[in-house]
Amino acid sequence: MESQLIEQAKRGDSSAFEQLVKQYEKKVYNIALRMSRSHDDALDISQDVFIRVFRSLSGFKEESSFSTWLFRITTNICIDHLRKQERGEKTVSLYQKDEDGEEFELPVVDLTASPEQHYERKELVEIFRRCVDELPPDQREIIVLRDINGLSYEEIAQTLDCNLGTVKSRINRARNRLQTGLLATGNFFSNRKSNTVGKEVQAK
Amino acid sequence: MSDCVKCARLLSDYVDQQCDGEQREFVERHLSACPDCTERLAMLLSMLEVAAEAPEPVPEGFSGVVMKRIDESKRRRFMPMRFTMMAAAAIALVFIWRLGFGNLPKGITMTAGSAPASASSKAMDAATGGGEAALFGVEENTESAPQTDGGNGSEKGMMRIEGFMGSNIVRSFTSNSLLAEAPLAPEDEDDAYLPVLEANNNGRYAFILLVQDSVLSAEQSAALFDGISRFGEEGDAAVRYYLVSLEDLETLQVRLTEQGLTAESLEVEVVSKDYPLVDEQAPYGAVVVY
Repeated sequence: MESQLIEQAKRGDSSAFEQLVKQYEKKVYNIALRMSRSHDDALDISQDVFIRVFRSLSGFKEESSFSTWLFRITTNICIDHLRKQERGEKTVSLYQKDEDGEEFELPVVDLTASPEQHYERKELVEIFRRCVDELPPDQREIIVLRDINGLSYEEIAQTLDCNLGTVKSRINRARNRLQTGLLATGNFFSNRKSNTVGKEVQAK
Repeated sequence: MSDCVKCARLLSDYVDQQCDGEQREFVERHLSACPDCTERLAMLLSMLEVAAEAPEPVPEGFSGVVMKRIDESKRRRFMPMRFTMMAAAAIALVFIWRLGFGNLPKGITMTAGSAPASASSKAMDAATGGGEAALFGVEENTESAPQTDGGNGSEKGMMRIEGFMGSNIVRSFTSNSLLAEAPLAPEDEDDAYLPVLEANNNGRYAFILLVQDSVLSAEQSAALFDGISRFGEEGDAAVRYYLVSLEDLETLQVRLTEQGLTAESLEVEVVSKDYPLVDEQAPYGAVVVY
C-alpha cells in the first residue's frame, strides 16, 4: 500500500522510501530526460527530486496524491534547471503564450502520396523522441506528462496547478505542434501515406 | 472556422474522451464525411501509439544511488554538530521562544530562560542517563561551547528539529533536557535525523526554507511574503531559500499559522547576512522548526 509506505518513510524508514523511489523512478526520470534532453542531467535531476521529496516528506499533507506532489516537484526542478541553463544563454521565456489566439496549424494530409520507406518501430520512437526534444519546454512538459507518462488530465491539472480547460488546451496545442514537427521530418507518418503539403494557420 | 479546422482542434480532446456530447457528435459526423480529417485522426492515434513506447529505462541501480546520497547528506549535515549540541540547548530554545514560536508542535517542551551553563549541565546529566544521549560526545561539548567572536563565519545559531511528524527527533526533544526521553530505536540510529543545536550568537538574520510550490499555492506564497524583505534568494521552484530578518520571520510565522500551515515547512537558522544559502559543503545544516 502506497499510503503505508509514505507513512513509514515519514517516520524515517529508508527501505519504505526506497520502494517509493522504485515505484516512481521511471516516470520521474523520463520527465527529467525529456525536459533536460540530457541523460546525465536527467539522472542528476531525478536524484535531486527524490532527495528533495525525502526531506520534504513530513510536510506532505496528503491533500493531493503523492504522485502528483512528486511530479510537481519534478517539473518544478526541471523548469528551474532550464532557467539556470538559460541564465547564461539569454534566451526567451521558457513558456510560450498558451492563449486561444495562438496559431493552430492544420496538418494537411495527402492521401495520394505513397510511402517512400517503411520504418521500424524503434526508429519511429527515436524520431518521436527527437521531435519532442525540439518542442519548447512547456510543450515538452505536457507531452511527457500526458502522452509519454500517461497521466490523466486531472493528475496533470494537479501537477501543474492549473484547471482542466488549460490542460486540454495545452495538450491540444502541444500535440498539434508535435504532429507538425513529425510531419516535417518527412518520414514519421510515411507508413501512413502522409506528408506535409502545406499548412493552414488559424488565428482566432 | 472551417469544419476541418474545428474538427482538427477537437481531435485531441476526442481521442482522450474529453469532448462533451455535442462536440463528440460533431467530430463523428464530420469524420464520417471527411477523409482528410479521418487521416488526421489516424495520424494522431499513430503518434500516440509511438508516444506510449517512448519512455526510456532508468539506469540500473538508480534507487540505490538515491538512497546512498540521502544517507550521505544526512551524515554530512549532522555529524559535525553532534558535539556542540548539549552546551547550546538552552540558548537555542530561548532563541526559538524569542522568535515567537508559541505554537510549537505538541511534544516540544520549552525551557526558555534557562541559563546556557545550567542547561548545558542539565543536558549532560540527561546524557549520562544513557539512551540516545550516549550518541553525543559529552566531553567534546564543553570544549566546543559556542564562541562569540563577532566574526561572520562563527555567527550562527541553529536548532534542528527535523522529521517532526511522528519521528524520533521530536520525541527526543520531549523533555526539558531535550534528550532524556524516547531514545532513538537502535535500528534507526544511523538513519534518523539527529536533533542538533548550536549556540545562537544573536545573528540578525534568519534563514528560512519553504517547500514553496509543493506546499503553498502561488497566491498563498504571495500573501505570505507581502511586505517582507527577502535577501539572497536561492534555490529552485520547489524549495526556495531566503534570508529574512527575525522580525519578519515572526510575521511569517503568524501568517503561516493563519494559513493553517503552522511551521511544518519552515526552516530557521540565525546566520550572518552573507551566509551561503545553498552550499552543500557548508558545515552546518539549516535549522528546522517543524
